[in-house]
Amino acid sequence: MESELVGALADLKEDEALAMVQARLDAGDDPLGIFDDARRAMEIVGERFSASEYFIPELVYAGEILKEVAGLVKPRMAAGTEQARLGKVVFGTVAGDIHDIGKDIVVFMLDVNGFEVIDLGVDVPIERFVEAIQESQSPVVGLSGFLTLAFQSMKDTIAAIEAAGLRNDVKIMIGGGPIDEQVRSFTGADAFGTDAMSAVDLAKGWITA
Amino acid sequence: MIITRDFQLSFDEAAFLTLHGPGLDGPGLRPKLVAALDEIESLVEPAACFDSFPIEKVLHDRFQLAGGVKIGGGPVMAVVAGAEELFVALCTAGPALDERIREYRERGRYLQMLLLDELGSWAVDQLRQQLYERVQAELAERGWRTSSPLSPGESDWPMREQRIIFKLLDTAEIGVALGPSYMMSPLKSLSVVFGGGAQPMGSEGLTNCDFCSIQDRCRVSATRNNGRHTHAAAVVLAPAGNQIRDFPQEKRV
Repeated sequence: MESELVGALADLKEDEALAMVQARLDAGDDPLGIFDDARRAMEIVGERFSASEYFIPELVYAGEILKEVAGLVKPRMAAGTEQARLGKVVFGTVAGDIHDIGKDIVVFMLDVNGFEVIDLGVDVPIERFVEAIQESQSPVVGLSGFLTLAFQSMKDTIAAIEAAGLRNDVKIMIGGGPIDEQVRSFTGADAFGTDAMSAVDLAKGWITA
Repeated sequence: MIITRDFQLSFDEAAFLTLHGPGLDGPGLRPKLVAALDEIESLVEPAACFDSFPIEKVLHDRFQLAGGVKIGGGPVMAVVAGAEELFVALCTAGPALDERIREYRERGRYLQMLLLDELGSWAVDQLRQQLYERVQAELAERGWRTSSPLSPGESDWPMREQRIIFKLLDTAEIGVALGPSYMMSPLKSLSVVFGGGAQPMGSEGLTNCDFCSIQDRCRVSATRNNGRHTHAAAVVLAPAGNQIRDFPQEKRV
């Protein structure tokens, strides 16, 4: 049976969940156990989003509650016992596009779902993506764009990644606005995401494969 | 060119919840939504500028307006066909909202950022719609019709045509600038063009949604009622004193 904390977090009962976390910490519970419950709760949140029971606001709210939980738990954890991240993701809005809200939400959801995200920001030059992949050795890359001119930027960025000899080392997802399979094919990306959770699912699938 | 800051924004909660999910009405999220509504009331500084230009010539894929400026591309020619004048307008919610969204982003307060961003988009879309309907009503008084409205970046109308609109209007008067990617600053700004004339035009009575390539999978489109924002059960956002006035009282520059 899942703990009461999992239920409270998944039901977005912020005050109740944080009180439970504090009570468990005060009782000497293992902080890692609390993190495990939080992760399970986020999985449930993701399942409810996929079932259209939750929407983007619930996803983001859940992430914020999780951040608060982490804020309570981390100071109690012994040095070096922080949970390992699932993997790295390089993410950014491509050159010529400055839309950031959607990108920020995806980055946030990747972060609360256990990824180490290298957020390059917006209007990211092609060469900066290449540099970031080389520096971080990240196996997953996310290209965000909302304008139709972003499609060419995405294509050019992926071409540059290939020219740098990195294409076989990374899986690339694209997302934002009117992106669909036709755009994915045009750009040469491996997949496209329609929302923040699909980005998380793609990254999980690629990294655990 | 006419400048107006007289708008009365209203929040259609039912439509917003349809778009963003009923969870926003739940015990956890509702206080956040109410806080965002309170906040946006003080942040939105609505302003619009618009002007009309006689259509002198119909070229292959563009109209030539009085003064020689050519505008067209995408579905513009088909939609505005038959018009005597082209109306060009720009609306903005102002810079304060952009700034607050940026602050929330920097502080990692993504839920507030998201809610304000969504409400800001809602607000500026209302400004565009209200301005279009005002002009439509005034033109109707003189027996004129209006075409459906279009904005660069929607449907097949390239974003780069935004530069033509910025050539036609003195947008600095309402604090809006055009960036290198043809995105406007403040971000919560929208431009729109439509035709006016005595004869039927190529397209009348449709909305920007009807020209959009992703209409069939767009939740925003699904919440609109025949292309009009519903105003029932509205929470009025307009700051005190910001009342709708008739055109003659607006500033002409």
